[in-house]
Amino acid sequence: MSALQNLAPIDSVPSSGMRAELSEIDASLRTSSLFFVTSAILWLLVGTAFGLIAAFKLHEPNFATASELTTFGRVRSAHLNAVALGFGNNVIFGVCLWVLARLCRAPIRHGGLLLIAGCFWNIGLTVGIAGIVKGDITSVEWLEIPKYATPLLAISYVLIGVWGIIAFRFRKGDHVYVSQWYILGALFWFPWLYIIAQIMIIWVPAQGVVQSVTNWWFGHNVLGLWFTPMALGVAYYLIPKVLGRPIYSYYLSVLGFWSLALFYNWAGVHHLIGGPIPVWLISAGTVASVMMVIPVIVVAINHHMTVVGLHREGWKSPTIRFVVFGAVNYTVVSLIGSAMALRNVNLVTHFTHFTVGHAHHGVYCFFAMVMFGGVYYMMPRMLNREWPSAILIRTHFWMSALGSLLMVCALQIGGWFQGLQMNDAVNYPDFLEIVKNTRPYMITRSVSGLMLLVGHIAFAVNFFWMLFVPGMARAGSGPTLFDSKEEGKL
Amino acid sequence: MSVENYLELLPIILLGILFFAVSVITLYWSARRGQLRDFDAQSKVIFTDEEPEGEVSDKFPNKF
Amino acid sequence: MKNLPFLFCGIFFTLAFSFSGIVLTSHFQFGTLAQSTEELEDDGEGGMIMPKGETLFPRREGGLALQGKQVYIEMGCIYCHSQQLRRESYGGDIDRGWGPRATVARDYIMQKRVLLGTMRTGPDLSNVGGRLFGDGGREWHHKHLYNPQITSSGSNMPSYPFLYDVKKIQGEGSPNAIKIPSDSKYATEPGYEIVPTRRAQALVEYLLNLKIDYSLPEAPILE
Repeated sequence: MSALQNLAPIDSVPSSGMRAELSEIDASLRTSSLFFVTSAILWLLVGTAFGLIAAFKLHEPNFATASELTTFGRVRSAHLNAVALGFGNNVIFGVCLWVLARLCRAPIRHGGLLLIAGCFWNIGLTVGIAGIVKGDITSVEWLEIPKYATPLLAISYVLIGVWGIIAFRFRKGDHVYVSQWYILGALFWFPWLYIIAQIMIIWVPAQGVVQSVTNWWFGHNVLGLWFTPMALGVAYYLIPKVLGRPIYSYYLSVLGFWSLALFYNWAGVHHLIGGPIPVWLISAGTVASVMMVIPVIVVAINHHMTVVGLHREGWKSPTIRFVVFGAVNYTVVSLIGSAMALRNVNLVTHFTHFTVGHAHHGVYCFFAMVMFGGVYYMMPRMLNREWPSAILIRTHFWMSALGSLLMVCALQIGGWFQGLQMNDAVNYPDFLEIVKNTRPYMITRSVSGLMLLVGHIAFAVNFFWMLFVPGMARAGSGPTLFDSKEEGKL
Repeated sequence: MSVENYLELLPIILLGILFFAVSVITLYWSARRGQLRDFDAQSKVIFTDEEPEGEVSDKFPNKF
Repeated sequence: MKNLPFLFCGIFFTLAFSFSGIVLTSHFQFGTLAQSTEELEDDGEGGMIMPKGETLFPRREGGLALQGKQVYIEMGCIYCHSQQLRRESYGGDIDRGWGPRATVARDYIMQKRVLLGTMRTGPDLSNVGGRLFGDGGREWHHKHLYNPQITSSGSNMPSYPFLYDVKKIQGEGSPNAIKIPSDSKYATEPGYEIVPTRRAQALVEYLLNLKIDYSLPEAPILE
């Protein structure tokens, strides 16, 4: 300990003070984070089930068609909302608020506010998804939840945003770390996006395609200004933290943050390329999408160069496996996304399964995997217990990593051909033939979905086991627990 | 596109110029205030004495 | 980057900038479009005006077709079908016979909920009323919705049997019943008929009314 103190940063607080702070902070968030992570995992299982049903229907169209409650349009939308708002948002509330609290170095205030917001969130979402299945679906992408449930969701978001600002306002210490900018940014951006979109599309609908433009300004910003910054915040914290090495080029992250804030905001119009809106608007969306290469390269340099040289050490950490897999895929999915915004590429990919593959690449291979890593890191420190089973962690990792990559490849290869064929009315005049050509890719996607289900079940079993089975190992002292000398096995 | 349409874009073009100017001024101001120096120390705030710089702080559990 | 107000300003401005630029500008530029006649004529003073007495397009939504749109929304049809046509040299939409011209902003101004869609698991429907029309079109749609395999073998569209009632034939049977040959594997047992519910009739009426069969000054149909 003493030898290392010479290397410690000059402005660090004396050791006993720091330890009390970190575990005090972790303890103050324990109830709410546990609530959020448990909710997240339950929604993950529900959402995966809806996803599998929807996936099967695309190659077995007469599967579960007797009742309108399970018709494709509704099941697919229930899947999207359950995984994005159910798993995605709950895991953000559990993990990212904890990262924010830790970096703010102050025990949190008004933890009760978080729990209230979380209850509102889950109640609103349950009512909303039941509403979708019942038939009150709005058929507005990313805003399918009917009017009677959305105000509760909006209030919940606002409460959480306010909490985040209070936590930041009462931070200790001078430095504000990059993760805090991303998390705060997202906490501010999202409620505004949501409320404006709800008003302009659902409550007081704008005229004609102004709705569509607002819809995709909103929809893309769910990915770009909510899920992405939250996951980047977690990755920027966990990669250097676990590896014990500071971020490669910290000053670049300032550029990364502001270029993301500027460009991502404008990229959403790329969902409407070729559509009934002015050409200048489409061009602006394409330009912004291509300019996104700048923050993506910045993040890539920072994340990947921080890992270089420490691969073998990192491989031994479950958190690093998930988070680095996520970070690598962030780079890949973003570069593909910038390419997809170019007119010549969009000509082929628009309206096809390629886009669906891209969406899953971003939300799963990047966002979800980073968040899984976050949960694996946070829970032992919060509960003072180890994860019960390494095999379940490995199962989760391999099934999720391979399953999601298989899904993306199947959908993007199949989608590319689908797009080429759709544009070739001479050689493919019969639309049905194009549909039949997608079938093998649809089947492969279902297989990949089953792999993901296995991974999620492994995750859930491990989590509830750690939570409920008494007699799990209790840590000696402080947040660091693992003393095993286990080599990095598969 | 006729000239009329371009004129409709004038507000947003002006807003953009204003935005750009404000950003440049803000960056200059924060640089003068010393917020853009000492990045090395800023990148190390995540380390504590419990999980210091130089040590890997996560491993697989020992159990099966 | 330590100052909350400064961070807040930057975060707020980036959002305000894109909101103004994308959403507000759209509203000002095409949020107040009105219906138009198919062509404009010279008013003799260098301007173009709408000739009097000509029909205005796009048509207003209403009647049974509007109720059918509600069914379209409740079933989530938008998640597999788009309603926007790209221009001739950009994609195969026009070549494929999906419509006589690209769709433009004015085509959607009378719709309370715009259903552009972003997926083509199935074909674009902007002008499906131009491809399937009259009684023949009605019959095709009912067969297709009841079980897509009847008209389109190998399709991956789901079936909507719950929009139809399978009833015992009373007397001469319902005039609305779907006509499926009795030797087809999709036929019901003898003595029964398949009758569309009101929702199915409304939905089909909506589909029959989806047409891009009119020009607009900014988007003429070229021969």
